Amino acid sequence: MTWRLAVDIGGTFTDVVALEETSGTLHLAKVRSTPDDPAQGFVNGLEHITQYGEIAAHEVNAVFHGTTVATNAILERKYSELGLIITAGYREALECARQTVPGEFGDITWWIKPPRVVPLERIREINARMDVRGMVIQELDRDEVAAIAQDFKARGIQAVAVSLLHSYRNPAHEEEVRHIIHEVYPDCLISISSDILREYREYERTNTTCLNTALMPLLSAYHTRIEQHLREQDIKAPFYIMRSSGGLAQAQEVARLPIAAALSGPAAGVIAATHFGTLSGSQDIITFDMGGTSADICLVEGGQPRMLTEGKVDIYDLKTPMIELHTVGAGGGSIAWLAGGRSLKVGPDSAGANPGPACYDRGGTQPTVTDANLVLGRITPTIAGGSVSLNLDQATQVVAALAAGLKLDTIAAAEGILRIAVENIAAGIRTVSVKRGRDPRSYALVAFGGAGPLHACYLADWLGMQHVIIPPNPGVTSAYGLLLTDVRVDLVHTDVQREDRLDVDRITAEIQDLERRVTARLEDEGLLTHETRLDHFVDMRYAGQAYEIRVPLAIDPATPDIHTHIQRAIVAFHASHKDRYGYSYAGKELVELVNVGVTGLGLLTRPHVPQAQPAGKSPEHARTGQTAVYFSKSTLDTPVYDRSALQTGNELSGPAIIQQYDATTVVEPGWSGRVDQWGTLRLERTH
Amino acid sequence: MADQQHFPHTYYDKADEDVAFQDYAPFRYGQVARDPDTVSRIDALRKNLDPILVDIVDGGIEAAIMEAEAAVERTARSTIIREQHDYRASLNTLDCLSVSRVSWAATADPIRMKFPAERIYEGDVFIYNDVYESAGTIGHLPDYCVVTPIFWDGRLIGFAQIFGHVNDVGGRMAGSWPSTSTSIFEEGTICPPVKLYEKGQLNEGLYDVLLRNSRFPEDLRGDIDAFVGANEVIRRRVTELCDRFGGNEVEAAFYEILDRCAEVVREKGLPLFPEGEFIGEDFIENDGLTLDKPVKLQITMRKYPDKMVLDFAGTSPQAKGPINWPVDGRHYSKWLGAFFKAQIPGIIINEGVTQVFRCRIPQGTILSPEFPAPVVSRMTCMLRMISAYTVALAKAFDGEVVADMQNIQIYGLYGQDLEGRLFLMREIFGAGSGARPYADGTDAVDLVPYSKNLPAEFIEQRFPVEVLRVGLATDSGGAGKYRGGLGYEKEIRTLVDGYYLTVTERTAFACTGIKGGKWGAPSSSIKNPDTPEEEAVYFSRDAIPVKAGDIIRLTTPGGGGWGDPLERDIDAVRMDVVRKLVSPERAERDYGVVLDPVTHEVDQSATAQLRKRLAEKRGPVKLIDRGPYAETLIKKGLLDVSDPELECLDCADDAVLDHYWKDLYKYTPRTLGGA
Repeated sequence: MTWRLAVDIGGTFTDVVALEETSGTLHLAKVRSTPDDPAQGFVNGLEHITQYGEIAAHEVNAVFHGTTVATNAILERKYSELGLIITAGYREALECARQTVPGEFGDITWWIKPPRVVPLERIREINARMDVRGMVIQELDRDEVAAIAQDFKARGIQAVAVSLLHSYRNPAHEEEVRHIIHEVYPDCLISISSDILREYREYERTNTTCLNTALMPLLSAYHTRIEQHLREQDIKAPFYIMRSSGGLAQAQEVARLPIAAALSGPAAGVIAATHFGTLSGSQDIITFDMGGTSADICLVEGGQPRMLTEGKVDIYDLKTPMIELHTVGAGGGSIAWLAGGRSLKVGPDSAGANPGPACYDRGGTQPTVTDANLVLGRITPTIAGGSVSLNLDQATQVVAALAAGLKLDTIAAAEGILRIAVENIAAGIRTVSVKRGRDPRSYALVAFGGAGPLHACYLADWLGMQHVIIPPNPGVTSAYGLLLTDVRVDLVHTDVQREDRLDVDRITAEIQDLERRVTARLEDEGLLTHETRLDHFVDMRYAGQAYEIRVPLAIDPATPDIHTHIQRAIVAFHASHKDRYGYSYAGKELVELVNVGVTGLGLLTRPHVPQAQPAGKSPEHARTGQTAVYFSKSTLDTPVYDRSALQTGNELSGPAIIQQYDATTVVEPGWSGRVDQWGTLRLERTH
Repeated sequence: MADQQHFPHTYYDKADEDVAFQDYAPFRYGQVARDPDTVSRIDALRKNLDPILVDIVDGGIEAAIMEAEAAVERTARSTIIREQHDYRASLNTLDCLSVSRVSWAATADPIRMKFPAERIYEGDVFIYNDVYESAGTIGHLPDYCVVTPIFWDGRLIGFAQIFGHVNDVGGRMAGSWPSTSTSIFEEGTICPPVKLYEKGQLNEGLYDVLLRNSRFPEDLRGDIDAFVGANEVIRRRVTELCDRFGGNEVEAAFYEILDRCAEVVREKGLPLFPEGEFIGEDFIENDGLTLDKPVKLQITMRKYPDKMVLDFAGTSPQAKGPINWPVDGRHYSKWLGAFFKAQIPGIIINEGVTQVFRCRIPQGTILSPEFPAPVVSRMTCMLRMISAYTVALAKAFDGEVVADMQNIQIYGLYGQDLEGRLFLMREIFGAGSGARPYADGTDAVDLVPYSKNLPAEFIEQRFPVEVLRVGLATDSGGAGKYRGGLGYEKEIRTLVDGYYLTVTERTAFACTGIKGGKWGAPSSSIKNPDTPEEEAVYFSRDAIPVKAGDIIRLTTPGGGGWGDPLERDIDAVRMDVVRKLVSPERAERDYGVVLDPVTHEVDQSATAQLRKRLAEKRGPVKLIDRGPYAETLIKKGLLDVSDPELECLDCADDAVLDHYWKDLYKYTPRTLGGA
């Protein structure tokens, strides 16, 4: 027996999946998360599954982990004290940021800037300076740096960020600063900006580096704790962590670059949804992962999730490769409220796990999406296999209070909450699809997370989508996704060159350098990899634009001539610009190359997943009862099914409620469903 | 001037307002009659409109606007649009009311006035920048406005529009911003409302003419194409809403959204304001030509049970230089209406606010100039209008208001780069925001949402300039119980010969402190600081010659302080000193806090004594503190203020005028232009 273990820590639950590589035997477990000490939740989950599955330490082949530790530390601003060393003249770079007031005109009067990652008293300037070409204007003064390192050491600052002007062009000074600090203060955790984000725009690079540094002590303590536990359990298997890019990295690499794991959890969900979509024959899908506080959406085409070169966590722009996830503040716990006493809004505030929706009876007094679903009968007062009961009276009371403000009856208000929540999600889906010139109607919706299947058909109706796919265990889909991922390394180098003045030799040298570094990293990482692959890309823009579009550079060993590939990439850039923005300047304007980059993938062997044959039982076998559900303008008697009893080949038609341990699926009227050989529920619109 | 007798406290009827202001400029310049069929159809639908549908349409419109603005940001070329977000998208009803959140300019009025409905086709795209043919919706020529009609089921139901500030539209100066123009003809190419596309066909000849008249035609084309593309996004989103819910219903929802805003302002906003008449005034430094003569903006605020009227009587007559702002009362109301957010954070403001909150402008003032008055620096009016309103609010609320600020100014450099090509580097730069009755102001922020400063690593790539420093100007925030935000301090070195320019205010006047709060430090540009050639430059300037290697140190103004500085938390003062936001000398002088020069520890007893002594010496605090330049002018009778007894005049000092007025015309020719 050879097992792969995956642990996904969410806000409320820690999900654990164990998969046997040859037989495909799968064990699932959910344990409560321990936000005060997330490593404890990991340990509990691992112990639980190894005992339950009778898995011996030597049988464990690999441990995979998705975590929101980094995200939560950013959101709750619980990072450690750090120092920053910056180019003279730029001490207040974090204070000035980009001078931006978020929100609307007039908000400057009341907006208060949140605290910066490093306060001014822990920022030190040094006189070393490079110019825009990476040539030294002012030499580095070693004594100046050593004195700063001594001072940080004396103040007990554990971690130091280094960000110098134009280091993306020439990192020599930053590397030297790192070296000097290391000599003076060997225990100090250090990150330098050219290592974290080798791109121009000093504020973004500095802030990303500071956030990264701020997370280092926390993440390295967290990993030490987990690795210690694994050692105690005699588990010698490699330990991989999911990053925002949807690729894996070993724990020590994540400890060096924690910022790249800021969106670790949701990325794994996208990978899993892509897998289930592909299995059931859909490579073009929109993933919809709805939990307690938010819904994460991603567009997947040809079995590939869309990637971004930058994104946002909280107020921070993070420039690390990430799966293009669009997050909408609409989850089961999202609160419905009246803006200006008049307009019904849902979210982004959430009742979270504590106090939770009013129907949880844990002190919640504001109506949430879950309360609205309960009032409408879409979820029954008993869920999670009977282990959780919901208070319908409490839900009705809070929704009725909101209804009074709207001058509507309770049912209409509950439906209004549902409609607004679904509308918000639909807007998110349009952002990732229609906005990119994609018609959501030609994609399948893969719905998972605790609240995804509950809203999937309703949402699909709203958008005119025909197909909905519900994975076998919607609530642990993200944990499952961890088992389906590859090791990934991304490196980028900024070198702005105009199309008509290309220095191809320099670009070739830069690409070769990137390839060397990526390959070396993959070799460090890839204990389980059986094959590696390098993908090249360039970021381009029209001379005069400030934002780039990433296009692949299809380098293959047969055609080593970089010049040809760049010319092809320029053609692809024009096409991509037209695709995104409706026009291009092919033949009219010159293109600028901004970045070259290499992505390395260390491909892991895929586990075997067994298929089930139709067992011949009718779905009536799985029917557990009947309930009254309000479906826009009428109440219908609706059969209730137990998903675990449904078998391959079973078909049913809406309206229907399908319950399982970790989620409830609502099959709306006008929809029919079928369970396929992978245990996936595939729903189709019939009206 | 309309006196208060015209406004009985029971004032209700719109007709009364029209009578009271019959000699004033029209509230709305646009004359777009509403189609009676549409009105009755929509009114009938509105009676039974599903309120949830209205919320959905509202959300859909906002998402469409965000999407369109994001597309502009990603593809436009002019840095002022792309990085600084000086552009705005909106959705107009058929009768040209802006349904989306506050866009303070550019509606479809001039299109409706010039083109009868039967000559507006699907696939048309209109363009204009013609200030005086824009029905008072566009403020200056660099703002190009693109309007796309939206049809549903063959019927015109509204307009998508975007306006944005492009790099150059020709005229006398690179960047089309002459601060000494005396006629709009000096300010650039004028494009009246015309069709850029008809039924989907581009008018290439027209486009060629527009582009040929710009010094940076590729930038202009990139910007206009971005606007056309983004309008298309809005058009598509709105028609999708119509496909789902029905065009009539969606159109009815537009009017509900407008009325909701009016209702919320009327019910939640107005009751917060005291009844009565409150006058606020502020001063533009000069009109660009006569540099020692400030220009006045005056607001009389009158609050009635269901309406608030701002009467601009007392405002200076139309100026000879380009500081005039030629839009109509409707647009001024939208501009200032956004500041209801200071009273009700989070409130949604759209054109509905103009039903309740109305700016009325006498004829022939800087706010109602006549063709061909120059207008390119109308931003100065926009900013000072906020300041004058702040003073009026301070009187109405006994000082419980956000202090004054000046959060947009421009500096730039132009000439030939190292390859001999014309370059123009311009940056819209923020400043410190005003302190609040509950918190410090914010350091280095811009008034325009999403505006971004220019990264040094971008500037150095693109322009022959080295950026030596970008940071905060120590001691610039107005002292107060809550401190004003700090302005920027930036140092650049030019690598070529060329010209330095500024478009700025608050270089001599200061941002006003409120209720004991002190004035914020004014801004300046210093050429070759700390050298024998050091030279300070004040006021807006077009063309200050610079040589390769020259250094310019520029600062932007600090926000006004709020409340008595001697009541500021002692530890907050200490932290400001530790962080070098306030100097130890100013900590003592302004805040009465004595610190150890090395450890920065507070000497508590010395602090208590000093605070007591300073309070006695100073006497009671004043409501309004405008700083030395204004105070000196007031004392000398060169400026009038309406309530002098509320004004602090402690720091009036004749030497201040000498300082600012020395070499006043060194960089501004005394004779310029014609009509």
